[in-house]
Amino acid sequence: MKTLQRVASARLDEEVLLARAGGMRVGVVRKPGYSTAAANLGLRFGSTATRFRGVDGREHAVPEGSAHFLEHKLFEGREEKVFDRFGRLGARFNGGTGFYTTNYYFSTAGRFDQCLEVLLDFVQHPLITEERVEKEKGIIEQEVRMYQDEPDYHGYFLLHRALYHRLPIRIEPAGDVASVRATRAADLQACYDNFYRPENLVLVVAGDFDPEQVLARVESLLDSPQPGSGRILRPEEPPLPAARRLEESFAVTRHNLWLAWRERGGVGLGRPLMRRRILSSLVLDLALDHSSEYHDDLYRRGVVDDTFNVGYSADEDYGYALINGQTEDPERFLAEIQAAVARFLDAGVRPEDFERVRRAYYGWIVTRLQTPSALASSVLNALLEDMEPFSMLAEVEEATVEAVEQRARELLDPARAAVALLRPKA
Amino acid sequence: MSFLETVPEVRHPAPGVALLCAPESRYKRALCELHFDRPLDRPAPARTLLCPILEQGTRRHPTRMHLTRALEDLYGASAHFDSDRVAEMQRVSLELSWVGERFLPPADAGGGRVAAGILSLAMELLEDPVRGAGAPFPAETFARERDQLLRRIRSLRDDRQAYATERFLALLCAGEPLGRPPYGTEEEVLALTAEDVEAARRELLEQAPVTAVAVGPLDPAQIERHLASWLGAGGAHAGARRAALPPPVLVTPQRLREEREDLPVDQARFFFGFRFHPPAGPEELEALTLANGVLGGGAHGRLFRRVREERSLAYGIYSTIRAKKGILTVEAGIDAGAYEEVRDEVLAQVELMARGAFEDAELEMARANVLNDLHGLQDSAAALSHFYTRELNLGFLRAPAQRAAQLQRVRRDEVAAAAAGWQADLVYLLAGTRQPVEVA
Repeated sequence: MKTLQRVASARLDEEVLLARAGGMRVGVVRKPGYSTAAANLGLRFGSTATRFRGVDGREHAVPEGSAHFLEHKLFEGREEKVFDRFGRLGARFNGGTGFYTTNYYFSTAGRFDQCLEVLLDFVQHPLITEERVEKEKGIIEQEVRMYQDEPDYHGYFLLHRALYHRLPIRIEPAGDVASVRATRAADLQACYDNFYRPENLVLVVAGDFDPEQVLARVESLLDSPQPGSGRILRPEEPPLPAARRLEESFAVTRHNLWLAWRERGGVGLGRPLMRRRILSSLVLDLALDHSSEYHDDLYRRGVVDDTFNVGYSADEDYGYALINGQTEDPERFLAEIQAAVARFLDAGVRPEDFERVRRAYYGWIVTRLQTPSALASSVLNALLEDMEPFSMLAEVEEATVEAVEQRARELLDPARAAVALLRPKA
Repeated sequence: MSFLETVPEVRHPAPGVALLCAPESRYKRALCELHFDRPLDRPAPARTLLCPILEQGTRRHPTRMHLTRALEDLYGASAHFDSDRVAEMQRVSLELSWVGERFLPPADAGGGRVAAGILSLAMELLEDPVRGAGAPFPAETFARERDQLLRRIRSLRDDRQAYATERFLALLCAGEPLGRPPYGTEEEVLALTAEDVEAARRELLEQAPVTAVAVGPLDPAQIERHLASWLGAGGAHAGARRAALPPPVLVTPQRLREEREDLPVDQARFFFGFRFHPPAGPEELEALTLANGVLGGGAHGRLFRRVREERSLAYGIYSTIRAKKGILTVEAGIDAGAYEEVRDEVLAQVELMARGAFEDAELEMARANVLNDLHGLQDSAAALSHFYTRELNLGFLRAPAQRAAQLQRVRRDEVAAAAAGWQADLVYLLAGTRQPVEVA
């Protein structure tokens, strides 16, 4: 019998049982009466892992986009394409490579055992040859090009290059056409051998099944554990933006502008990161989202329009608050936003506004955890970031006006602001 | 009887108003969508502009800020207007959603405050918008939202995918209602007055057939009562006449047309449109669904295998159907130099399918894929809502299990017959120039 740790939220009516199988962390979310079941397998190895020390102590540098390229190669399967194997089972499946993680997932109505076998087989038994890598380059090149025409995507990475000197989030997860063409089978094999190891992998399943049986099934499908793991080498990042402002001309009809305030540095993973995300989101909602008087004033005077967005993004070694929008007059736009932020910081937060925004945040947290797929994804993300699953509600309830005000002062520091601007081509 | 085997009752709280409720307490969020259907005709841009104007406030909540605050107070409930094409109609939708009672904090659970609040707000948005001095809407609100719509039209080409999709439809369906975008042209929007938009609002309330689909932790009786008192005999629109809309225009192509446009793009957008006669009943529809699945319904489709996996010509290539209008669209992002290869491959695959030259295994993959989605419907309020809305649009209201049984019965000769009905009409390519890539 496995030792199961139970983590539950009565408010959300959800629970997850955590265990280890073959060295791998496994989470089982029981959803009695649900007809679909989902699995999500992931690891903290993403596009930013371009330099690492291998288990043999050697240092490796791989082309940008290698983690994403590897994800593609895993889907090719050893003897049969994964598309065909899942296709015969009628399952929904995909993978994703982010800056810090890669994951593979499926959802199925009634074929969970077979799908789980496919998932654990193709992730454990890739066949990476030079010929297979060459063949994939045309496909990935098209994927890379698909995003190049999108102003949002282009501006987002222009902003990252303004904010950061060295962090690899400056680069698109799939790399660029040149890095894709430069990728070799040995690069991908090195990534795989050093990181796709049981101690790095996390599997979360959600559905109507017996946890003990699922764990036994997982264990039976795993190869012998290999101890050790590669170690990602992260660059040292100075505390201030690399550039106050970067501009490019692009095929847009209006100026597309991004303004961000970066954190001095990261807070690592776990509860500090969750807390930072929650408080920062509350700050931005109160300062500049649709219910704030500052936004209302800007909107009614035509400074911002429906293209205006706010958001916060953070991981172990970075974080920033972002506003973005389109405008005819970028200088006025910037000056007005910065003035609105200054007024917000000066005025502080009214308790009734805080309670209202927190209430909306509560609703958002509750309702994003509905389907087995969403639950598997949410729990996987929490585990990969060393957070307790389903603990966001409690963290939101612990937030205070004072904590939000303090976060606002830390976050919205003009000395750490940077701008990216896409100008319409003449 | 299982949830998936029963067809929810369709209620009629008012003439021309159909309400389908699928209450399910497991869902954390309730969804209620109200769809108002009108032809894709000259007033379409006014209806499109009406959507953002109605989101700017009501008499009780006079600005967008006040409205947003009211929604935040209801635990992040949402009320959002949208205008889109469905079949060959313009559909103006009001989408409402709110957190289910049992997931609210104890202080607010019970009593139905949140559901009552959002339903009341929905009516208020449409019936009691904030007014201007002697005008249907405040002049600055009207001018601002009209300018936003104009900017959206002018900047459509910034989003190459959306632009290409729109151009493809305009060229494919030139002269048909579907060919005109529901937001109109710059000239049409510039000519709009506040009175036009107010007339569109009244027209929606008094002439548009209404379809309402509500799914999740909700009380059907509460929604029915609400709609009856709003749109029914005792309400302000008791005399409304909601006539059914005409069916879509059907077209038989005379020859294959090819159109190419150039914009600076990194990746060319490829569209191939085929016409077919809309299915007469659910059995024909399911044969068509499976034919589309075999051709390009996903990663199991033959276009994906041939064009992406075997020939590395695209990252993705898919086909979709507009069943009531009779259009099959194949869509891909490709290198412009591969245009002819992709075009010929699509034509060859369609021809093979029409001759029945596909494997049983391909058909079974397509079938398994649709069945998997059907069996999973009950786990997602959004998916279930989408299913019933589609069924009501198609005019064959079935339970998911009924549809699954019909899919199971489709034979390969019926799939081939469906594919044999596809007639090539237009290939459209949005292409352009790009810089060569230097490899270190």
